[in-house]
Amino acid sequence: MKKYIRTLLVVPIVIFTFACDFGDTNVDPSKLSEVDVALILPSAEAQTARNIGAIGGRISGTIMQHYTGVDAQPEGYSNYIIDQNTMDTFWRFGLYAGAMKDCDDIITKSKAENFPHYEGVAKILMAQNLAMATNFWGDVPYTQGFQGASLIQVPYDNQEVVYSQILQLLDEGISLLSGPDEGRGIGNEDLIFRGNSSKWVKTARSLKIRYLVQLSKIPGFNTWQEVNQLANSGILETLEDTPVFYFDPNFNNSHPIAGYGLDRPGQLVVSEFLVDLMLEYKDPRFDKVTKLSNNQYLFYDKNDPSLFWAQFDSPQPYISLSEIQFDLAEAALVNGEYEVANLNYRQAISSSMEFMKVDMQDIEMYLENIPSISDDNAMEDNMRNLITQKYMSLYGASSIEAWNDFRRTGFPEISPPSTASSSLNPSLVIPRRIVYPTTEKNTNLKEVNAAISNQGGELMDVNTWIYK
Amino acid sequence: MIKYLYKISKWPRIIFAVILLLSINEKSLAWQNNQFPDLAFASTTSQWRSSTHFDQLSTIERKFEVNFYFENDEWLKQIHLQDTPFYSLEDLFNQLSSHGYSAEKISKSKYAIKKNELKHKEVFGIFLGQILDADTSKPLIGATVLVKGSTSGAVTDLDGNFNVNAPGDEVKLVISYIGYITKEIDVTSSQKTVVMLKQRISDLDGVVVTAIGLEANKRELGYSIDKVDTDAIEKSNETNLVSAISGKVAGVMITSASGSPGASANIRIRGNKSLRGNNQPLFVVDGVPIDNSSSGNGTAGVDNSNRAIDINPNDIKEMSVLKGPAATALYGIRAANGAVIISTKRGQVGKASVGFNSTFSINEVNKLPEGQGLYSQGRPSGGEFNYRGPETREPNSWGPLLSDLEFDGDPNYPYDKNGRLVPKGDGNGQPANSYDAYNALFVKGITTDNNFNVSGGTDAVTYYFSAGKLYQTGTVPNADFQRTSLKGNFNAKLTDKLELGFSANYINSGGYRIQRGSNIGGVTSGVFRNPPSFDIGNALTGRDAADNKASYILPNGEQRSYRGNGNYDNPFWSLSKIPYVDDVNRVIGNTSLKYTVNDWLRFSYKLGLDTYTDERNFGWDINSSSNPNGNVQQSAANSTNLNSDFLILINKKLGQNWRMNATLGHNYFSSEYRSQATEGIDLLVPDFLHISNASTIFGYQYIDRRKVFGVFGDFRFNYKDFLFFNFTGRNDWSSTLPKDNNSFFYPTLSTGLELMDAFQINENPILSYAKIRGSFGYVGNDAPLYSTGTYYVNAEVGGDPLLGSNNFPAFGVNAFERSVQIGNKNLKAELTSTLELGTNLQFFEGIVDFDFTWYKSNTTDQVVALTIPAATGFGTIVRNAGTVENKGVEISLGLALLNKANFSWNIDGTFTKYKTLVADLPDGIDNISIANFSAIQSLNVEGQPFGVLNGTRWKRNENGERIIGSDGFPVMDENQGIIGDPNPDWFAGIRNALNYKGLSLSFLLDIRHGGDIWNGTKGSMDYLGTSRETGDRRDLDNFVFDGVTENGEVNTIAVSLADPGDGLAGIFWRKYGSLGLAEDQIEDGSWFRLRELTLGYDLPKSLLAKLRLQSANFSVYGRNLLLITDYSGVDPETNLRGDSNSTGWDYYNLPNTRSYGASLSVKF
Repeated sequence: MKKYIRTLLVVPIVIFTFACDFGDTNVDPSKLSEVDVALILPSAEAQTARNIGAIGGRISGTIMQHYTGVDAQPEGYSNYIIDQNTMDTFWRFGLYAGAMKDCDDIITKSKAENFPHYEGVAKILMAQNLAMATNFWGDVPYTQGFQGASLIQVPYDNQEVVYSQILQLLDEGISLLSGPDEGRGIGNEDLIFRGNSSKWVKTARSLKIRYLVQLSKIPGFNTWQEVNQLANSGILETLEDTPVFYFDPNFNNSHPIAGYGLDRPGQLVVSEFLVDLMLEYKDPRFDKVTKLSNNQYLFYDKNDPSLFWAQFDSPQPYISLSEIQFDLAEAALVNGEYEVANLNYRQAISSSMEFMKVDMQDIEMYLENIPSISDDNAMEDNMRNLITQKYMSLYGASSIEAWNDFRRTGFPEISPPSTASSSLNPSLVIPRRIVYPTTEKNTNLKEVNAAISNQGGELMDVNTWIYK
Repeated sequence: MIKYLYKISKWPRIIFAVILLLSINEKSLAWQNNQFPDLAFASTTSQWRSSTHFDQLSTIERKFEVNFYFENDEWLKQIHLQDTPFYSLEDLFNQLSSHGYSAEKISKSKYAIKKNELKHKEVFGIFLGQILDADTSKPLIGATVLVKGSTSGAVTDLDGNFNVNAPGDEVKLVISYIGYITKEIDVTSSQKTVVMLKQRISDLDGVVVTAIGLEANKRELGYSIDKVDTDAIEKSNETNLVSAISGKVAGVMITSASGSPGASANIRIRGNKSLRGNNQPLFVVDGVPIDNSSSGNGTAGVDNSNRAIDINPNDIKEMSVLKGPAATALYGIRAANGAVIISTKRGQVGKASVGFNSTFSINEVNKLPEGQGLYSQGRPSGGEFNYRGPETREPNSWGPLLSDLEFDGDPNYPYDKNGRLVPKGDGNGQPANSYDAYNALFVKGITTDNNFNVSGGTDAVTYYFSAGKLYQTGTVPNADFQRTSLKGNFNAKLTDKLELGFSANYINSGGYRIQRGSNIGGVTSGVFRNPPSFDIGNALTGRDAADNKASYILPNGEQRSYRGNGNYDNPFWSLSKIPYVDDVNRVIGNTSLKYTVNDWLRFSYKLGLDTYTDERNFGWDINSSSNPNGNVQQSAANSTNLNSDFLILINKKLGQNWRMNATLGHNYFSSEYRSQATEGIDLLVPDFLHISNASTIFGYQYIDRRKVFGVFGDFRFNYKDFLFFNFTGRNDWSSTLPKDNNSFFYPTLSTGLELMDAFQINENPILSYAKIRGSFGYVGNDAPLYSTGTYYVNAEVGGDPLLGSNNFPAFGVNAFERSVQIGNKNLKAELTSTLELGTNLQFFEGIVDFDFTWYKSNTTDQVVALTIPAATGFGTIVRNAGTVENKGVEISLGLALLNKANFSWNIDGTFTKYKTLVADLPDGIDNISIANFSAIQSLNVEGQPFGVLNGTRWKRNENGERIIGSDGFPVMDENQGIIGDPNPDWFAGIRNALNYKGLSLSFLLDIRHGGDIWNGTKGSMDYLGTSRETGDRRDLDNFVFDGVTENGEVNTIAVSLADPGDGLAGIFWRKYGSLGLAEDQIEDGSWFRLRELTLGYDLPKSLLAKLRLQSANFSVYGRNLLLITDYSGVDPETNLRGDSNSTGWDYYNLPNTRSYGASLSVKF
């Protein structure tokens, strides 16, 4: 009998001996604790592309009447029911703890290990995402962000600071990528340029032009001179220079426009305003943008491969050649160089169409039909023509930039629907910003309130600093 | 072990240490022997040992493991050894004493029996009597008779007779018997007294299973414990044993996900305590913790099971519910939220008994949201409501009145056999139909449950074997669930001292699950959104429609739905083309050894294993709305829980007045959960949901693992059988805590005092029993898995709430990114302290049994993954932060209105009221999100009840008046706010059991008062124009909303609720988003229901004998037969997020069911 007792006692004693050492039990075997920057870069690039084309694109596209919501949430967007929940996920996992986190991580690691080219690309991507944040909200956190547990209630920077940061990030990106790679060149994991640093530099300069143009209404800001300087130092010049992200030809990793079209059919259509414009000018891009079905202008149809922006593997440019050429046209126009302006304007339209693979013949015919930029026209008419054409070219490429142009210039002349809700937009204007997201209000209320009072309110009819 | 005592303040540590020392060192107990300081005889003196060997003597000696020494054997002839489990050595000595003998202890297990000398030459009277049951007049065998104020006593014999010698002619006798109310009577000698004892109604003396399988007498406990017996479990006829507890135990709230077969049920004991995920109690079967997790219950998808559903309720003998730390501390951290202790049936010594029972029932939906049957599909345009048919993909039912439409008779129109709908006068004169989609979709389901068991045993071996098969079909076609269970257990007494136990239970369960919730493939979405002008079944209903493809597929291969071939599936498409099948194979087993060293010391070891595989295969066929290109997924999860318990059990008398039960133990627990999944997309061939059919395949793998060690002690002291103390202490080491800080200790103290005995209160007609109890204790909890580290994970490209993420590997490369959670290397265990006070009172000779418990608990240092501003570069941080305070009262009331042999009527009621307050959150964090969905969130907000509902609301002025805009419609506030509290104010259950001869009737009323529910289904149906309200009120054109203008003037603007002139946006129900304004969808979830009703008949003994049966019972029953509630949606007991911490959500929930059936059980 004694031996039974012994057995009984031995089992727990054996277990007990090892009681307090659990080895690596609490280390998650399906995750890594450290990775190289080259493994993070694709994530930063893909997320940046998605930020342009997914909900950020749908919201600004609906505001700008590229789209009209006809059911469910998008129908609300069209009536300005864009509440604090609508863009919470975008703020959190698209921008700050999404692409911007990845960029910050690459920047930190690259600085520590002296990988200047990785640092440069990450700064360019960071600038573009930060710009999207301030485009939607105005004052946003940045300079004191990305400190993890050390600073949780991150203060907001006013929009002026944010823009100076954007420009600084781009300048640093240009200088880092213009220098040596210190033995660590970027490879094929760069899904945009496969490590071609000079194309990144051109992209950075082009983006800088975009943000300088956004700043052009700020008194004392020498936008147009700087734009011309940049234009001469090497920017996007051919379609091959365009920073484009290509999604996969399957639903799971598809372009968000096609993904949304497939996943949530019947909620969003191409707006009457855009359709009418395109029909008016006999735009050859029409059949590549929309398809009439049951009295609705669909932006997506799974059986129609001609819809350029709505294929699973559609391209998503970070910035298009066309956009830059429109900016150059505007710069020339402001300087009174009408011919240069007209040339760039036509070049810009042509680039948009070429990118969309429109026949040259059709492009030429279209260019004949459209009004020219010339000194025969009043400045306002020239601007209307320029920005309206830019608006048509930005469909699919970036509705956010169309919204930026509208807030800056008032073109194209869209008006709010009669059914718009006044709850978040008491003066019932085309929204000037959107309300801060729920999670910020739940976890960072003091800083959000400071930003709201700095901006003089937070509803959709409040102008942010840049558009005051 | 002592060195780990530092965690808690000093005093409990000292007490714990002292007790530990006392119990370990036997010498320290030596004072108990000092009562016999100078025994004149040595145990070795052989002359004392009688050479005569009586059978009875050896029986006694073996039973108590003692040896007796005596001068003559006269006494042996006089004692009657009772063969009852409660017969103790003490009873024997009382008998001896009644015959004038006394026993003196001479060593550890040796007693000397001596004839008492008449010290004071007192006259001894002989008191004779008989003790009978007051109700049945049957003799009570083995009842104890004590002479008050002396040591004399006796135990009744087989006829209930006793015979006591005591000094004097008149004495007071105290008569007690297990389960009966103790009585004191004055008696005179030489006169036979007949004493009638009344049975206690409650199971006061009942043996209950407490933590780690220890058995304790309920009256000795210092905390409340509730028992649900076999009868109550069987009568509930629930598939899910968790649901069987509903309404029967105070302090326990059960919420089912829905009535779909195999749906999960959520159990909370005394509310939520932890701000983070798990607030589930621990489930323990025969001393071995089992897995009751559930996975996959989100806002979309299907209702998955909680794993306790695998336990066959027919195998259960009883369930006890342990609530506070004093009760659960010995289970350690896993029982931080209480424990449900399940004891299964075992074999009894005797010939084999064979039992069979069979149940058949019919299930049907019990409540559906009310729809409108008046208006057609369509939308206003050009100032009129226009009909737009399925070919237009129109989502809305804002069309004209059906009575204004007629068919055109076109036989080629694919969406309706009568042709398309056209304005009256334009067609063939056949008026439009108003189709009832509910009637087309919902069917009657059936449940069959057959169980068979054999049990029996010999002195050496007992066994129990059972087999059960449950099959259930749902209230929509195709839905089903089955459970096959095989169980066997054996107990063998290898020797007098060594006992071996073995138990194994194999379960196969699973079913065909139904899409619901926020899900465009959801069956509920499809049916509740359907316009009355569209016939989902294409002239067929129920299973016929589901079996006929013509009801959901058009001749051209597209889907036939009111949305054309697009958004939101036809429910019959969903039922056939979006299959979700799960298959669980599970083994729960344990093996145990018990070794009895002597009369006070035992060792016990138990090794338990709970392992299962959970395979799920699901997919969307090509042309499904949410996956038009098709999708197929297969996942296999493998879970293994291993639990080892080693116990040292000590049961000792400490002198005459004290008894101690001590348990020292060691526990090891390890769990590992591995999940692997494959997803294939872009299918090539329809009707072939197999991974080989996919164009692109993704793979996923997760591994969760956790280990915990614990050492613990439990010390129970009993003073004179009326004062009870219980100390426990446990130290745990958990793998989820930081390496150098993974140990934590927590003690409890509980005490109970029986007032009648303590203060010598005589029996009186009013108060028959009184006990007060109190306990204070801590229970610890460790951290979530892997929360000490910060990781890199496969990069996810997300940021869009309405679109799934892109996941790497993708775009030709693989990528990683830093996970959004900041790990914390300084975590410490969280701690819940609970103070519990209670009383148990019985009145009118036990007719009224009243039990009251008050408690307050604080859970501090909560390990929470706090949501933090994303600008930190992270989404959450793991911290010790926040306090949750729970306060509540629990009342149980038992009424034994009648207790005759032939007729009895018992009422058992429970009442529960508790408040869970989020008392404190870290600075700068105002709330923690539990779940988030478009217009609504479940939040934990400082100073608010747990899980309040937050969402869009009306704009109000300082006086709380609603602001009405210049257009005459109320204005939405730009900031969301708290709009509801899903926690009920109180809930109660009242169970009635009537027995008349063989007939029995029992019913359970279940009442819940308060608790808000967000009726998102209604919000969405209002928006789409399918709700009853939008049918009844859409033509109101002079409506003035209550409220004031911005300037504070009373609103007087009259508006049309649905003015076709403004198109869809002119409709009131569409002005605040596609789910409506959340505040407007908050409804009171109070209910009153008849949860169970059973009418049964037991065959009389006379007939049983002829049929050679032991028992036979036939019963008919109903479940949920009556539901009274103001809630306008489906049964308010359902919850979208099933078994989770976010409650009060209804968004296209599957409805609940009512059922009625019959059951036959026979025992041979």
